[in-house]
Amino acid sequence: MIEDIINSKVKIRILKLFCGGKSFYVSEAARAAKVSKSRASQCMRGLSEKGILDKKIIGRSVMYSLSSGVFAKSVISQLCRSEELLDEIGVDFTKQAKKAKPISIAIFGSSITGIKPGNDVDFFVISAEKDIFYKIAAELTEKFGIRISVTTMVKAEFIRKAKMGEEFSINILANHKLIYGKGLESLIW
Amino acid sequence: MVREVKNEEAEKFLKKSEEFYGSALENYQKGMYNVSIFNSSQSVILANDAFCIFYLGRRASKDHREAIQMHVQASFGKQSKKEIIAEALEKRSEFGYTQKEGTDKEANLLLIRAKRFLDWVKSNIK
Repeated sequence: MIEDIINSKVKIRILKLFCGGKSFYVSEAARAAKVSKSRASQCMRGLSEKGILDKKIIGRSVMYSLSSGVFAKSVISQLCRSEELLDEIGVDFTKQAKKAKPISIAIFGSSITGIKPGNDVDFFVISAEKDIFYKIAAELTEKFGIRISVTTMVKAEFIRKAKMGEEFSINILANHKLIYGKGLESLIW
Repeated sequence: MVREVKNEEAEKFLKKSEEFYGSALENYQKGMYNVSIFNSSQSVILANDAFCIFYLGRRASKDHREAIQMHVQASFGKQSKKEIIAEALEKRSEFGYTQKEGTDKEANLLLIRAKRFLDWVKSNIK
């Protein structure tokens, strides 16, 4: 359900402004989130209709603040912690994974820009080892209460797949956040 | 000359961009590197059109500099991806209209950039 409400990057950017408990006029939010006023207005209206934001009409302007409802509070607390949580998970994973001397570790998928409510964190590891990373993922899933998945590939397999244009490898090369080791593109060419 | 386009049309340009990307990937897999480079470039150009239409209500003409300028304008404070557009425009002319042969490396790297740009546009206009 949360994923249906916060279904765009712009909505996330706008909603994150409310982490500090401040209220915003549409123009202020648009400026802070670096989006157009019409886009900000559309997103804030949508969030208000879903009960996440409360709106108050002041003269000819509309001011939005975070709703006091339990659902709104739960959404915002997950969102406000998302980036910090992703960093924490990344650091923990890398710290333990380093023992197996991986060539590269990257985060891919929807969590690249921060953990959104209901989403997993996906790691991609270039290494000849496998089991140790699955074990770390299982431990961290338990520790953080967020599903952490790992996909591993040996270097030669990754190079072969990327060079033949295998879709998964191309998608990872296009959208990932490197957190340890050698750059993925530099491994291919 | 810049052309005015209704914002709702952005979705259609995005769909076309996805089709060209799909074709670029398929041709890359078949070893048709020139076609792949051309289609990756086309995918980037169409995705940029979708992006500019969504934010500005207009799209660039065939002038390359205009496409880049409009992209920066539409990015509106976000970190722009103008390098990808510049590269795509350059490669399209280089491999689509001259005798020069594209290599697997050039096609592969442009395919990755096209996918990255297409996904970036999708996440920004949804």
